[in-house]
Amino acid sequence: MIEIRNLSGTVGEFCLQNINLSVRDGEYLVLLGPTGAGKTVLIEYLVGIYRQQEGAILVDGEDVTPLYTEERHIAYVPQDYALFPNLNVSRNIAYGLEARRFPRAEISRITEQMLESLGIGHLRHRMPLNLSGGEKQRVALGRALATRPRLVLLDEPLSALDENLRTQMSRELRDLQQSNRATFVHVCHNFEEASAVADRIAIMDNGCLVQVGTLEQVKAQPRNEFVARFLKTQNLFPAVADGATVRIHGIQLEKKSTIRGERVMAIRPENIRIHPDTESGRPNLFRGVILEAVPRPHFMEYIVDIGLKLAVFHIGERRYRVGDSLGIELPQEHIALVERA
Amino acid sequence: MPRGFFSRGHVWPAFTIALILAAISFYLFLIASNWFYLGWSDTLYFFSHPRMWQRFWLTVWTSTVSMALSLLIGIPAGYALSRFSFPCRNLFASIVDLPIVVSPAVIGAFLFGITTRFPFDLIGEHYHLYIGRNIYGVLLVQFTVTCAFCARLMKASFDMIPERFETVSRSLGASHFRTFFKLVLPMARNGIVASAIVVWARAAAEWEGLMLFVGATEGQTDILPFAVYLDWNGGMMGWVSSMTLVCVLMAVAAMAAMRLIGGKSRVW
Repeated sequence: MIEIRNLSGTVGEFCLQNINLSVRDGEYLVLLGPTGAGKTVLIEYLVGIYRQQEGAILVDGEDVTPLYTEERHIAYVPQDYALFPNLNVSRNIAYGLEARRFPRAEISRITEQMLESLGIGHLRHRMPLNLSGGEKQRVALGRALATRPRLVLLDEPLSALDENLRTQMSRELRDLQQSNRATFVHVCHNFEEASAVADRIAIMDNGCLVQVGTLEQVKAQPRNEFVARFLKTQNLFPAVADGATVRIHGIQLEKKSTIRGERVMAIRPENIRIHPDTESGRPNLFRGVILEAVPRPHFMEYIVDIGLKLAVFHIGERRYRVGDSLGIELPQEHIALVERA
Repeated sequence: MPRGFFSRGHVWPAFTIALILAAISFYLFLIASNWFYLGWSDTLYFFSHPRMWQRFWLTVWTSTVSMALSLLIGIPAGYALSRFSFPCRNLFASIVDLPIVVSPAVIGAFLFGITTRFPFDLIGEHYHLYIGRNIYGVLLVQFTVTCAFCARLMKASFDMIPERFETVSRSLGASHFRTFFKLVLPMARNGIVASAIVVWARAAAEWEGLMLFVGATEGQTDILPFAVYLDWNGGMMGWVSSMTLVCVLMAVAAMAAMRLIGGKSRVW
């Protein structure tokens, strides 16, 4: 169990403010945020490159704050993997075991096991310069996992890979984490990448931790407008809530909640339902006209005017055309009222 | 000549090749003129004379010892300048760089000033250890001049190695020392080889500092470039020409070694 308590610190002109976060054993947590949010700085604090001004980092209850990097037993995999160019694949994987003075027989056994489990046995004598992006990533992961660290920190591990390989490697990352029962903290700024691997996500902005939760929780109830925008909730409108309804530009929606006053109404495009005809009696059902129809790889994206311009994702056989009139339902349970950023 | 030869794609390579050939021709001309000046009989005489080989080996071994001492200090100094921030770092860096910007003659005079005054004069008298007009003086001058070059070159080499490697190594459990010896030094191998050769060549070419600090003592301080200066003043042009040839050949051998050893390295 990793616990970060009230961590604050300044690196150059960048400031981390009061970070509180816990990562359970065997969990895959993704730190998500835009460039400059402080994700990399946070993992650099965890690995021990910087010393925080305030707060503590606890690993299994032990305060590792005063420990040097080599004493923390937290493995770090940087964006470019930093494979040691003077050592071949096999010696790269064995490096941590040698540094931790494992017996020689044990080093050989674990290295072989890692090479086989990662499917890179045939590369054991290759130098890192002669490896592809995917192979480099496997070697870096093998090197990090060989010593069975208490935590593995991955700094944008998929960003150097092309689109196809990224999908495959994200699956492999997840499998590897589960088969080794390791605890992973993975930094990225890509929502799709996070959703492919994460048990939970932690969203950062401007040196602060904004929200932590499972992907479903965060998507369903973003804490504020920034989180909603970052998670690609395209439909965001200034709104006034009174506990039973929400008013947006003269449109009134039913939404029971304890929230009153000015907020931002958010609804994800995939949660808006399309009805071929406007059925009476359904709450939050409006007549809309399609302004744009954009084919996406697995669905259609429509821009629909119901008095508000809404983005709607539609999966299904039926295709609508620009100018078609149809019913648009905004289900109450998918409407979120969030703080302005 | 084909019509397209002077097209845009060819002019620049042709121009640079011409410049390189001109530079090589100039150096060959210098070597050849010395050679023609000497002729076969004088060449055989000077090159078989024990005085020439005594000066040659003196130059080789003093430069080698100075190079070793410079690396011993220059590698850690270069690493410290590249990696650590500490109070008065810029002042420290400026002091390390001083021998690069100050004339070696000034360094010679400076060393003379220090070693002949308190407390070194008393130490010398008490222990009969004189650093001055002997081989220790040669080593001290060469070391003072080349150590700065070494530290600067090593700093540049370490700067080229991203610090991420060290962070990863330490996160895997390796201490600072282990990381330095097992990872950083092997990765800086090219830089160390290049620095060693440049430092060796610089030590072998030193004479201004020697002129002021150690003076000329036959068989003890007359390394080749210094001997060239001394024999020039004595009007012994045969010796000057033959030693010039040796100096140029030594420089060419040093540079070729740097290319050969540096180029073969698989580190990067």
